[in-house]
Amino acid sequence: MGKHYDVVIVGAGISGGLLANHLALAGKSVLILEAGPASATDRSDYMETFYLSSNKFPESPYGPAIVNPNNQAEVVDPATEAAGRATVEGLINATDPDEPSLRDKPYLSYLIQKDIKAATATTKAKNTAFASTYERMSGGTTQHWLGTSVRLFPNDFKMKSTYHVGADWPLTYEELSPFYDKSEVEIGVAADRADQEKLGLPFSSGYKYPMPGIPISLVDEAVSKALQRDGGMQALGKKVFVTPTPQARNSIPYKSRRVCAGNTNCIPICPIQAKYDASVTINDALQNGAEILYQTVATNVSVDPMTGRISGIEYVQYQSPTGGVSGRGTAVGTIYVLAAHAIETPKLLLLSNKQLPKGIANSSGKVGKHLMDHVIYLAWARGPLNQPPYYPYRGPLSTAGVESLRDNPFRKDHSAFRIEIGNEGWNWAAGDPYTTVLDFIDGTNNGQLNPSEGGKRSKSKFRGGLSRAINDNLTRTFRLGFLLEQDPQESMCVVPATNPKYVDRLGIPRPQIQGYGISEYTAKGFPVAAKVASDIFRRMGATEFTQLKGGQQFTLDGTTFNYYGAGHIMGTCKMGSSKADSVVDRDLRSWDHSNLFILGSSVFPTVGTGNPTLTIAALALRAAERIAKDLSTPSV
Amino acid sequence: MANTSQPDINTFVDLSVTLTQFKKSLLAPFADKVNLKQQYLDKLVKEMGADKVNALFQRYKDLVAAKTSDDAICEQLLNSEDTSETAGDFSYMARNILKMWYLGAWFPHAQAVAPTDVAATERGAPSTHLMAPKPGERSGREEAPAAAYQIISSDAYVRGFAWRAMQAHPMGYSEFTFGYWAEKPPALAEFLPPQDPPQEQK
Repeated sequence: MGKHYDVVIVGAGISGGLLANHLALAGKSVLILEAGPASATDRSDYMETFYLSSNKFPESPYGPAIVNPNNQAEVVDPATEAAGRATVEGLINATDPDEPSLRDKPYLSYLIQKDIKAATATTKAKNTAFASTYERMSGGTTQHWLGTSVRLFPNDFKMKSTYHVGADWPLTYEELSPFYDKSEVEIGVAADRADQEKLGLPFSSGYKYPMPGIPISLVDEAVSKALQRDGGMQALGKKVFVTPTPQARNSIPYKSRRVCAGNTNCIPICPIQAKYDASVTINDALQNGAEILYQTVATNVSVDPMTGRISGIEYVQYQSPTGGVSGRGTAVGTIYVLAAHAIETPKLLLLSNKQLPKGIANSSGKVGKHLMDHVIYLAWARGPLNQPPYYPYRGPLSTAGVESLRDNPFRKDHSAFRIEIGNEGWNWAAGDPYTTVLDFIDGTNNGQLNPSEGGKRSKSKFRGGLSRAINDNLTRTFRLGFLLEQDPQESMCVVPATNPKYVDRLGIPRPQIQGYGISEYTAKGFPVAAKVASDIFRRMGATEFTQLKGGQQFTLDGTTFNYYGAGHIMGTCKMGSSKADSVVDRDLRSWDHSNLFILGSSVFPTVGTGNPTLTIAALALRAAERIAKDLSTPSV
Repeated sequence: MANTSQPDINTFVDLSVTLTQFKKSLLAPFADKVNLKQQYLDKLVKEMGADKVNALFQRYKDLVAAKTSDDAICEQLLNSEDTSETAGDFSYMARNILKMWYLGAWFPHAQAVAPTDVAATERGAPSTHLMAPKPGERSGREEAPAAAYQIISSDAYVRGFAWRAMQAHPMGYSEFTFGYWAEKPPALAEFLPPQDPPQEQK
């Protein structure tokens, strides 16, 4: 405190980490403000919490506490904790925040979900809550990510000029490509170039992934074989085929981390840290001279009214998540970077400096707007009982998918999708192995694999009959997840909670989602996805069991679909080529404040159909070079 | 008259062997540092009370003494047509013993489906068991859909037999090495070794 840093960074996630490390290596002084705690060096506490969690949601190993560990039906009131975050438990418990019957009850979601029962003319949305979550701790959301490290396709950067949808990025694939190379080496991505080149992805001459690809699973093989039969499968004018997934997961010992042992648990936690998480990069940055303040929450970004430059970031600190504010301060630097992910970053900007009519960095009015996710269509099936099993529940959670439909001519009309092949059976789709094992023991049929005869409840299975029924069925279950792109809609946004009772333990307003839903562009991709899923299952001779459940839904032309969040929070501080309609320029510099940069997926003007983390990393490394250059230029 | 003495661990193991058809040495190893059998019996007694557990054990011993076959014992305990409360308790306890060994967790009574509740068992009915309730359903409900189950201990989680029955491993606990998932797993008999043939009656 009192020290003037070259760079002050809000957020110790992958963007903040990569930037801090790059700058520290270049001899710059860096301070990171992280709202959450350090990442524990001994993972056994996280693992114990995880093993004992009834609901093994992505956030389950990490803090602050989401449920009472002694009675996990009791959800902790987010108003009682500091540095909370969106969680699946919160999503389940979210209701209309202005519901009169809630007046005296706690709102059990950190994220305030307004308008979740709003209907739109086209989609008749109901229960359309924003369905993705994040972490606030060293390493950020990469603590619980899957590790999928795909590049966006060239057309993803020019949706407007190619398909007349959304916007163009002010950057091309070619300009970002060398930074894709660098981030794959920096975080450690396992893949074989030849597989990726089959998709038409251009690579730098001579580039090689730093680790050989992760072997695909038996589930992947079964899907792949079926797609190749009878001259191959076509859809949307393209060939449908399986591609191994580039993953941030060790296939050889790399950067002192262990090789993957197939714990099938990447989300929420790799027990042995074979999966990359950004706490590794944060620790590198600290080793190289960066400094960090944990449990330090940025509350205000101050601007010097004379120059329009950022002059400081105020923060509060806490000792325990339930203890309240224990300290305050201001961080001062030459350059400021916000890297707190796509909900907390715009929230901070909108809360900052009430002297400016629209908040900080917001002359365009776009801060917090165009909130997007990848929404997921989930389809599940069981292989034929008279054919060899697929043996799921083995290997990483996903090792391959279908990338070949991610860019197709029909994108002018509706969302494209990436297909992720799951290795975890019906764990996500139906709560297996619990649901089906319970069905066999109780005689119920919640998972659909224990149908009753003649309208009577089935008998309980036992002894060898029970283990055989489990073996026959669960070795053949699998699911496909279709990641569909959302087009940017200005009405879908993040704001600080409007109701003053919706604060956290530090008195900071929680984030509020407004106007979120499934647009017609995205909705129309769902029946297409459903048909591709059914076609794939039919080719495999598998029986489809996809069914409508509770949870998030929308209706299109009389058909109701479930959707899930992919955990990809994007769009709320969009990048563009004009100050009038974007928040940052192609270097991720704020149009309004020359010494403010914004990193992370909040800057994505469109989202493509690829998991965003590798693109986040590439943008961070590109911005790092820009920032280092700024610091070396005397006039800055 | 209710028997409230501490239920016998050996009877618990024998009953577990009968219900699961697992080798006794799998459920109760000779050197049992983890002592899952005791964790499970303790949980059963805590949830049901010693008197009900003893009643179950007595019923089991009576069936064994009458030279009832293992399959018939299981049918009597699990699938009896008897609608008395006692028979319902026996079925519930026997099922929860199976669930503890297979899944390492205790499933509260609210999760048990009444035999006549056929509508909940047919395909097409929304899965109420572990699925997310609709927004708003949890607030103010007296009968919360309790966390669907309680994991008894981290040891119980990683030793659940369901994962073995699938020739896999618990999610989050793998003792295998890199690349194993690209090969077929060992046979089921490696994961669940068959019981030794029954001793000849002397």
